[in-house]
Amino acid sequence: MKTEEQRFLKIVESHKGIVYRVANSYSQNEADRDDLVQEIIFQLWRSRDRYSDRYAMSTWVYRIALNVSISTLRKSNRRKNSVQPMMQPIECVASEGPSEDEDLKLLHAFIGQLKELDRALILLYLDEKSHQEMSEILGLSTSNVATRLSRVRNRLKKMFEQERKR
Amino acid sequence: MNEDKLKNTWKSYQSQLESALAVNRSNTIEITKLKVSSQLAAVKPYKWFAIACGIVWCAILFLFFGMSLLHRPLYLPFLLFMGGLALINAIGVGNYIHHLVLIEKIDSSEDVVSAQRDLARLKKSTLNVTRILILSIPFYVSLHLFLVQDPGWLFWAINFAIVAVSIVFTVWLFVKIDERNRDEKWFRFLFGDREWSGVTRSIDLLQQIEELESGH
Repeated sequence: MKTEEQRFLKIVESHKGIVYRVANSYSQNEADRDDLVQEIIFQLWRSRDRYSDRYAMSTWVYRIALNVSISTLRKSNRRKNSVQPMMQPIECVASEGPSEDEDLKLLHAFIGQLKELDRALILLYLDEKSHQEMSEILGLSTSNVATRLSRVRNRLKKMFEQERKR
Repeated sequence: MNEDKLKNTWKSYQSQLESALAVNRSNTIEITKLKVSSQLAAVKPYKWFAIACGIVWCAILFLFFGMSLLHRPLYLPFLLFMGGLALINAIGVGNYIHHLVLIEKIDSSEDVVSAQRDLARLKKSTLNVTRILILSIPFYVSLHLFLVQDPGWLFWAINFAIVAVSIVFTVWLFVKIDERNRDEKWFRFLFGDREWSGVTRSIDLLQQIEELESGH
């Protein structure tokens, strides 16, 4: 395998979590997610020469993953053929107890109900990105990030409260 | 659920994912290379078909225009008619191709708001291609008028009315096909199908970006 390919695989390997989590949050089923993972990796490969060390590598990966996911979500005609998965969980990714697992499912469901950009914001928040990093990834001012994030967090909180009342 | 618990749940998911996720190394490189080599295939076949039909149709229209230009005696009404029709179609098809090329060129590594705004604006501007092509309606409605000889006043009266209505309808559509009317029933009816949903979603996304940037 060529050095360039090896280097690229190393990048994918070290950022696989970001790619998978973003794809998972913007797709409705496994086939869509695999499709999206493939598309994100393809765009990472295509954009590899455009990486600038002004930003962290993770910022670059987030940007591409989010851009591809939002664009794909907007397209109406999703591919119906299933694709060969490029990455897969080798074991069930569940949390420790049944209650936490349920929370995770709910969290995923609620994130799925948010608008495209709010979804990106909450993903970055959950991934513990600073306001500065969020602003670099999203292209918003830090004050706008803070204002919007607080609204989205409140919305998410309300969703959980409503669910608990049921 | 409090936020700390939420973050911990996410963290646990994150770390388990990191250790459990396996990248299929050979698949990744092979498929990526395959995708690079068949990038043109990313443009859907019906789009290629639309472009091919558009180019062939424009070629036919320009051929008629050329023939009427060479015809002696010069028949000015038909020459202007064919010239106008060919020009409208050429601008429409050219715009469509230009949009497809620009959409493919969008840099996904730009920040999310800039890239999505550019993409959404481009998508939205496909409405302009439709507006341009709509201008050709009165031409098609009046095309047959060149084919009849001495049809009489009743024919002219009826056809004048039809052409007049088509002009009014075309101007109305040209003015009204605008994102501001996207919630109107007729707009949803015209642009509500799957092919157009990308455009309507782009308009919604632009609104989201505006809201985000204004801090609302």
